[in-house]
Amino acid sequence: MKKNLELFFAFFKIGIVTFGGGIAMMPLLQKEAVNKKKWVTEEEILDYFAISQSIPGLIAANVATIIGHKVNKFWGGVFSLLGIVTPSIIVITLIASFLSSNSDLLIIQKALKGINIAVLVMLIGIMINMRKNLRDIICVILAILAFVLISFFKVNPSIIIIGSAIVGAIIYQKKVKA
Amino acid sequence: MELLMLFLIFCYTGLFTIGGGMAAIPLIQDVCVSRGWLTVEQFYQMVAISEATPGPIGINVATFVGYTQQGILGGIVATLGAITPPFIIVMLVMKIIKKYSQTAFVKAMFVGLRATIIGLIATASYSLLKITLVDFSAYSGLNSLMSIFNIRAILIFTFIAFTYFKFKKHPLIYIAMGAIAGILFL
Repeated sequence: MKKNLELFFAFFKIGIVTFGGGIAMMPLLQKEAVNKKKWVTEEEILDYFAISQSIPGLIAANVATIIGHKVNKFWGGVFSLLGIVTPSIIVITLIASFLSSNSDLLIIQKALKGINIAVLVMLIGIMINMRKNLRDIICVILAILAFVLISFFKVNPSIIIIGSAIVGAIIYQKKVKA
Repeated sequence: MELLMLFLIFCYTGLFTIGGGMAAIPLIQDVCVSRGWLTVEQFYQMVAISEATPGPIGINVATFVGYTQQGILGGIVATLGAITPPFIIVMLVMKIIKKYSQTAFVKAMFVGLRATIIGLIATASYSLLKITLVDFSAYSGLNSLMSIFNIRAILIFTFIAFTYFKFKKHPLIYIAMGAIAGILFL
């Protein structure tokens, strides 16, 4: 139970300061789940984002469930998932009942712009840290291809994910140790 | 009865969301508008608020729609609907992955996947760059080249980047820094 509550509050904290969800939650997740609690490794987080992108559901919610499940099985998953959605339920309910003028919204939007700048800085930091996962030229090409196809050709990320899983399985099967 | 309906509708949208919250938006819009719950305008105002408030956007929209229909309980039920089917699928997928995680096939798969996720982080960074530091739509010829850069935002970026890479404090500090700088200067 102690572990479940720990998971709940860790993801509650992440949920309350993550705007937009998905990859934007990565910097905080890394700090909380990797550096502080040591629940998972940096590499595992990449894996979990990959899995979450390619199955139904919201990415943030899926990543929370997977990490919770890894730490404390079924109930770990339940508590982590509830942790990450509870802030939304509270905040949105409050906003839906109180937010009246558009000027309130304007201040929030300004703050959000600034927050997005901070998230951008931290995502760049994560990419620099994660570069060791690009083990050879094929990995570099996969990463660049994913970036170009999604950003400029609007290809659905799920297709890219499944494609790269297949490419990885074919190319690296002989090179990794079982 | 209405609550059960809300739950089921968001089960459906949750199940057909692949690749994150934004993918769910058109589907939820369709449901809300065709049922006469919200107008298209109301819906997009709600999406804007959901983007500007903490939490995954898909969850925010679910809570919002549920709240407008059935009050606080509606918000909770709609959110639970959106997360239940994916939860079950995640549990099943983790079982399978755990079983085969030590095989060369799965390990090799993740080598490719990790590389692609780095590409996806780059994609997310690029979208953030476009909404914060530069605005390509302001470009209208060579002499307007400077106008695509948001100088204030770039100064904030430089300051946060400097402090982030030098001190490596908790992400919350930089998020707070960004929020304050945004309210004051943007």
